[in-house]
Amino acid sequence: MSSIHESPIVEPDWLERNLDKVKVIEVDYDPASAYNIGHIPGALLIDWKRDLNKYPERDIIDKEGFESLMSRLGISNDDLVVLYGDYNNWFAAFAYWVFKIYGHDKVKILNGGRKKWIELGKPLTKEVPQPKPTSYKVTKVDLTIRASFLDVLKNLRNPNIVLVDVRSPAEYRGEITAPPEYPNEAAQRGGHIPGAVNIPWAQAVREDGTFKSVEELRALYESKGVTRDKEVIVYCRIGERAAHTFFVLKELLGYPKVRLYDGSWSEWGNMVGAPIEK
Amino acid sequence: MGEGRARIIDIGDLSVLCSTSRLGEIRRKVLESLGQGEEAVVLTSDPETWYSLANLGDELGYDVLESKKENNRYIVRIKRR
Repeated sequence: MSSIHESPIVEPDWLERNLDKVKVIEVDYDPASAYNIGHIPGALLIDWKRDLNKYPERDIIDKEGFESLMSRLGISNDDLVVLYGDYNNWFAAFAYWVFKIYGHDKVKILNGGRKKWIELGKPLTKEVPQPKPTSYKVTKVDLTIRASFLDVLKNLRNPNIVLVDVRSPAEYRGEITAPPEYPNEAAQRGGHIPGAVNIPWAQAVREDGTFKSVEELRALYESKGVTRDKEVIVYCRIGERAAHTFFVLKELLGYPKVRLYDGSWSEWGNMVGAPIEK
Repeated sequence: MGEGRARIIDIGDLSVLCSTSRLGEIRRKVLESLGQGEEAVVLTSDPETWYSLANLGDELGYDVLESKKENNRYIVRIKRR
């Protein structure tokens, strides 16, 4: 991570100095308590539920949907986009993953997200920008970073593939099926996918929400058998926390084969006949 | 700043809560314990919770009298309308 062009993250001070050179997008699960009461000057909004999900299919937006979203936000194919958001950048990381699927490689994440920006006393505004629409075109689609239910099922106990469950230990052990603050998105069964190791997403960040050093991160994951020679599939409950860990493994540590199982426990835990462990 | 008369309430970290739950917690922990015109000093360790407290007064029915960071604690002094 020697220069801004190579690093997948930007620091708040850098972003504040370069707001006029990048497209900043706040990605929120809950804009009402985040973007709407104050956001980085010039920042656009992606509402995770509304903008990145396709209904009623229960899927991420398709290629045309991504093109439409980018065009509406005034994003061009060669724009450098900086993503940040609420909930410790979980949904910004999910958006990052979607950007990568649809081939927009000039994308970075603001280290520490909304929380760190506020902590540092950086400027916020309620002024909503009115971008000039573009005609964004997706030129490549990369689905190698996405895992499906069947991808996971057929690779259970495959020694070359390691499953990482990034939920809390209580969710992993099946004591709860969702964090208590999200009671409406639970699965019918508790537990974890057989063979998965539990490395909660929060172990990758410091108290202020910024990422730990590469050395710390490497030690964390390697100590649990998550090494770069293996293919890694990460999951959580609805894919947002796992996207955070996907970003850490794929972009900060440079692991070559990392996939996000975005169906996650809300799919696996409800699927008839899917094996589980507690 | 008149803290001697104001109730001091530590609201904790609400950043993990969705907006509905966050507003509910502010109502339950802060506003329901205050009478009309009564002041409170609300403390939190979380910057996002602090920012919400400082910007949701109109929606929840209180005036923000002061908002600051002091000794790694975020402080918002409010007065219920």
